[in-house]
Amino acid sequence: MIATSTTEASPERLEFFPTPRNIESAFERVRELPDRVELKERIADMDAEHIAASLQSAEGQAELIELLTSQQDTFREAGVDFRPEELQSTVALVGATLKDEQDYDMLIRQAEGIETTAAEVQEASEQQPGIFRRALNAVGGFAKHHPIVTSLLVAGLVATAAIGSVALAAHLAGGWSALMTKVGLAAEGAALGEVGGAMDVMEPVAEGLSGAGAHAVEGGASFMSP
Amino acid sequence: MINTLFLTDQEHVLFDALPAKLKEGWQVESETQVFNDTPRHAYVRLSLLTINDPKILAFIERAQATTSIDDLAALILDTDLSGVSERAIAKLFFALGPAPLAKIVPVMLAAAKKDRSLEEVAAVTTVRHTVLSSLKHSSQIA
Repeated sequence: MIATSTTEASPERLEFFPTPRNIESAFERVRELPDRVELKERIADMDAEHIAASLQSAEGQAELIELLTSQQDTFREAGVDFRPEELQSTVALVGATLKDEQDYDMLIRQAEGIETTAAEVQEASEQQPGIFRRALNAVGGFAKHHPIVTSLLVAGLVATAAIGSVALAAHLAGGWSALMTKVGLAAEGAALGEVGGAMDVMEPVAEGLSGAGAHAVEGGASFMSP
Repeated sequence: MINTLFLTDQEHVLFDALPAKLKEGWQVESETQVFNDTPRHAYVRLSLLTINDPKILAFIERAQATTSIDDLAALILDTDLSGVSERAIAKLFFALGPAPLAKIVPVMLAAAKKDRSLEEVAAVTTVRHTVLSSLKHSSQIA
């Protein structure tokens, strides 16, 4: 069995962040509740793929927000808490990031020589795919062993792992700076040749995003491919 | 081979300070794209990251099983990414966002002693340029 980070998540009530997988997980919890026939019918076909598509359109976002807020009590009963007043902005950010990710994926596929449509190409970037392909080849060659680049990428993975693990986020709380110091990515006092503060933006993420509107979420990050 | 570096004005100054012989044959394009990253943006990108690379999944499982900062630091320093696909690394660069890459470019430029070093800078700046160009939609969200 392939490991996922989601198994470490605490069963306690956790704040909900509206990624496709988390919304799908919330719907699955609702389906386990008794009754709620009308709501269950409404979400019957809403899997992560459908939700991801919805999140990328204004109409789809409005529908999801209306669904979640109008049924907030039911979702809370299912262990899914969220702040309705923040839902619109977080849904908008998730939807926009999904579009960005789709554009980037298209560029990766182009770089890999996988056929893409002309519309996709025009939509994603005016950059020549050949340049990105050569850059990816070069990065793929040296990033695996380059100490700074490797540390950055692996530290990023730790932040990702913390999203999927309440336990890891808890023991990283207050410790991210110390961790970055130990791996040569310190924000303060970086030695010559070190990359000071490169991962500053990840500190609140790794430590549970306290005060930034979200915390580690049961069900965690979407590590597994569909 | 890549022969173009996408550099910010500040990075361009560092490039200009390199020996003339080292700079021969390299073209510099201005990196004018700006993305104001925030923890919320980073959180969303990392949350949406889909990983199916066995080595990375194993690393995540080991990271989650650590119980101290020292153990985590040792795990990071002991981990290399050999065997991880270019696709997985490319996706991780997107999840990291442009800010960490912007931090490493000056360090790499300052340490550049040979053509190979500039090839690495060119690769990193091209990846950063591509990531920046892909962040059109989320850059509109505060």
